[in-house]
Amino acid sequence: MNEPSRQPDLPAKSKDKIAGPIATPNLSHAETPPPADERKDTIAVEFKHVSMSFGARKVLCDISFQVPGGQTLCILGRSGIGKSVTLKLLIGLLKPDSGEVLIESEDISRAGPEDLSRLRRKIGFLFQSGALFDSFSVGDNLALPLQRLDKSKTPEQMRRAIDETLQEVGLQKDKDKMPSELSGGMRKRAGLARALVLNPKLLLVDEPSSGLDRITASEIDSLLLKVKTERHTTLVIVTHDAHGARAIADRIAVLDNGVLAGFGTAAELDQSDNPIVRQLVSENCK
Amino acid sequence: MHTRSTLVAFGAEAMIPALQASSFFNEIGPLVTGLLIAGRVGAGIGAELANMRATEQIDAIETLSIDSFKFLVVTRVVACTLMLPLLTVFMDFSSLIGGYLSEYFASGTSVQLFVARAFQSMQLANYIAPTLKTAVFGWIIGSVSCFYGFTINEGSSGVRRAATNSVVVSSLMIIVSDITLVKGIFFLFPGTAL
Repeated sequence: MNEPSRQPDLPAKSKDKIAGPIATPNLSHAETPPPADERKDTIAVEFKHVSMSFGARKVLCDISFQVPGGQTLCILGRSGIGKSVTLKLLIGLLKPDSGEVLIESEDISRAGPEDLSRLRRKIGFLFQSGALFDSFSVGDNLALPLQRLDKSKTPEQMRRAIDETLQEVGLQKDKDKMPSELSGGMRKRAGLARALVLNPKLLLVDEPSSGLDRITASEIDSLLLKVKTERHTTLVIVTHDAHGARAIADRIAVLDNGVLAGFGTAAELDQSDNPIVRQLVSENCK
Repeated sequence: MHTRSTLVAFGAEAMIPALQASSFFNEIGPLVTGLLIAGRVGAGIGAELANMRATEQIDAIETLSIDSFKFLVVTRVVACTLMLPLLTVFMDFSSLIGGYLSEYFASGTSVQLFVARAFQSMQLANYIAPTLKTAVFGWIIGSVSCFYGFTINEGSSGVRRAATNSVVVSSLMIIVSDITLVKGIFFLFPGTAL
């Protein structure tokens, strides 16, 4: 196992230029350029010295990074390296062995049931498979979080919110279909609609392009870009798709052997000394 | 059918309706219903929840700030507990209708006579305890099936294992609890021991 690395593999010049997600606590938020909107003033997500292991296998070793509000971080890495674990730590489905996972400055890993529930209401999660509820129609999949978590809405307002969100992802005609009737890309879009229906501040996306052809994957990437630009949602995306990551991300994090092997813009990582980082962010690597 | 020929040999043909009613309402109805539901519903709950676990649907419920235990487990356990006594009553009367048809074709007994003989020696109270004990069977089926479905996280092989374990363990626990409950009923209500 490599020594824990908190220092991103960035060229010395580029470290000074970092705007947005910050790889280590050493890189202060003051170095970021003036925010374009209010959300960018806050740190939406922060990993502080997070370590996580399953049995004897260390998955994450002393990982630290920050994502300012409204920006997009893509996490790249080989399979089984801990990318999805990072997302599950962010939403409190897993607890780290050590370190802090901060969502808007609140540690979700140590939150009690009520705080955890409150924090999760700020977060949408798009699972790799979509994770739609099999026994519900697409419309009912979107209605469930609204009925359970947004009791202020009338049935008419809920119906309108569902219709608008489905229209946003291009599934307005598929509201009454069951998940088993949808293609892989449609399931992803329906999962995205469910994640967005409560208008979360932070959207976590697990492998948006996996199992999809290039065109459908691009459509999903375009949707995520639209979410980023129109809703100003903070995005943390785990992906193998360097092409998609370069299109969406403000910053890219590369995980390797449990440590942050690289962190920065795609252009910065192209100049990395680490060949694995260069290979993973390369356009030709998928 | 075997019992009938034995009773006929001893000249106790008139006891057949009462024997059928007693056995259906006290033992066969509750136990068979419990085992049938363990096979049908228990396997379904175990497989469904294990599939939801494998396809991250349970994680999705958690990420939506919904308590997956309350949403998926409590509802199923309550449903099984409440519905099993009702299904048992349905099973009891279905069995009795089958018993009557068998008796009708064998001896031409009329409905009135069959019903009068079936219930002459039994009070309503004799049926309540054996029927209500199936609520315990329902609780066992719901709890055991939900436990396996909710906790096994092994992909498609986990679905198979959850379904199998749900049926086998539920059925065994129903049989063991039936013995205990019958003893308890006899102890608490000595008059029900026919």
